[in-house]
Amino acid sequence: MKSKTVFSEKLRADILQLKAMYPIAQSALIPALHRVQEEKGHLEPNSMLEVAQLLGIPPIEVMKTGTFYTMFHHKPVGKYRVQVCVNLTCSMLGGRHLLSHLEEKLGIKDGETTSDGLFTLIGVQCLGACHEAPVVQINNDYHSLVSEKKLDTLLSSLRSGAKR
Amino acid sequence: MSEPMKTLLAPDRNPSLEKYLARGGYASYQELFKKSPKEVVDMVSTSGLRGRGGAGFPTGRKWSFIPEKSQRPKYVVCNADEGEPGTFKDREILEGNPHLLIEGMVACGYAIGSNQGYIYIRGEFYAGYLRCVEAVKEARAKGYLGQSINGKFAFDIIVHRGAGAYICGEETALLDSLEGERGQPRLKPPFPAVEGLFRGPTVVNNVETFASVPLLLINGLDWYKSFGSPNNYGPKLFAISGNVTKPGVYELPMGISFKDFIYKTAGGLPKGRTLKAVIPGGSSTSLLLPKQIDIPLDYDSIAKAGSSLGSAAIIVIDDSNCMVMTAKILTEFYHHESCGKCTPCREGLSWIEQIYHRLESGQGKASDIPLLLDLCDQIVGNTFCPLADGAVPIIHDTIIHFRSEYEAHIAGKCCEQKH
Repeated sequence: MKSKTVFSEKLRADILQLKAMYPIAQSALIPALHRVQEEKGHLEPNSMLEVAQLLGIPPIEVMKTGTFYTMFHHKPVGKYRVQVCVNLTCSMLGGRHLLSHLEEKLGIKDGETTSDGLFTLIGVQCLGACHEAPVVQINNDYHSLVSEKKLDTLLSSLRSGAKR
Repeated sequence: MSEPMKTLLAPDRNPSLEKYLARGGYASYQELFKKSPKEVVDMVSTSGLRGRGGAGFPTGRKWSFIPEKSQRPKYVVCNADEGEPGTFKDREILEGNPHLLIEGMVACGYAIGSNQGYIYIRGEFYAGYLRCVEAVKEARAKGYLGQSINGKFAFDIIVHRGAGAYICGEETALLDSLEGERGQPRLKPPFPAVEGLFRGPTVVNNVETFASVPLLLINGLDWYKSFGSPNNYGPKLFAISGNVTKPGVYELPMGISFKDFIYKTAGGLPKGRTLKAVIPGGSSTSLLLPKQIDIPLDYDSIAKAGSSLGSAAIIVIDDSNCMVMTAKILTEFYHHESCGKCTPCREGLSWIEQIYHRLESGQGKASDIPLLLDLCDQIVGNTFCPLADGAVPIIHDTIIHFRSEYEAHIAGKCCEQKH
């Protein structure tokens, strides 16, 4: 089968290295998809095909797993994924108000991305940091005891950082 | 060497390996390798240590189910998919004391005859993931993991990230996820002890469970049993959040007063507020009312009061909260996290969520209350795994104890609270 690679040499090598860590190749699938997403932002069909080829597993397996987990994106997402916890403790302490505040401020709904490609807003389930509620996770970083004001400052600093 | 280590939480959060060693880190290996594997299993059984993930199953018994001889390799899997709403204790060990977890997993590997461990950590815990990866490397470099631990035993650990799915906290869903599949629970039997990861005999334990073992090995049975009461021994992590002034993770002996924990340790409720209800063990456990919390905080006392200690995640709810909205929020969570395998869970929770949205928008009907209770009845016990069973208590209990709030919603009069 002739297939065109969409991955860099480094990414291919990393995935093959992950594959070698496990007794079965498919165990490397979720780590591999994380790695692809780190580099490409989201999981395109071509990327998933190439992961299947590198791991030597059927493409359908990649599709099945890739579409099950909430952290994998299948459409382009913003440079910053703003993930607001909407579970119980955070909601009791204002989490859902933060989400509405951001919807209004950014002019997008939960799940959407701003037209400048900077922010994707996502209401998420419990992040396991309820003593710091309300919690917002931006990409991999947790932000605790978040208020509207704190969030506004955070977003504008990200925005000015992105311009530089 | 200083005092032997006695706590699950590192006093100096996230110590370097050097500092960890200086306060007695990895000393449990000396005790471990003095014993035969069977003696280790027996010691864990005698200690009464119960799984800290939520089910409270006796850890020693779980280890004893692993067959001595097996054609396939055996595995030790750490469930670090901490995701039960209200629960945030394991994160403290993953980020703040990862070497204690490694020590505990090595002890389990030695006890059951396994040479390979996996830490399955939820994808969102990126800092914890990086810290565990680093800790495993540090341990390998010093011979605390690897081909020849104390010249006696080979054991290594791979840290594996999940990607966002509450269901992977269920041990067989976790194993499927670790094999690169969708995280959906497996039919049992066979149980993981017989056929688990890669079809080999497997122990799956919670982070805190593994971390408890080195403390037991170092300090002995008498010390361990000096905490709590029979069937409820040991030091324990409690996470408390919601309407209290000092939320956090507290390490306490099992069996302390539940009431004191809320009002003294956790600082009590915000000024002017009164207690409405408490979720004692994570969102899947039954509500306790203010009159029910004058009890010791341990597995058996909470069970006797009609709930469960679960993951020891206490959510305190004060009188500013609408209980219909509380149930709605958790229903949205369970519906979102249903893996879709069983109809009662997938369809039932979707239906229940629609009813709550109706109640929220003032479109509720009087028939909705019996309908909710009927749906709960049809879900409990009729699914593959406990996810849907965990969704029901908050619905059922809020109707039973706070029915007037549902009626007010239906009459279009309730709370102004919108979530």
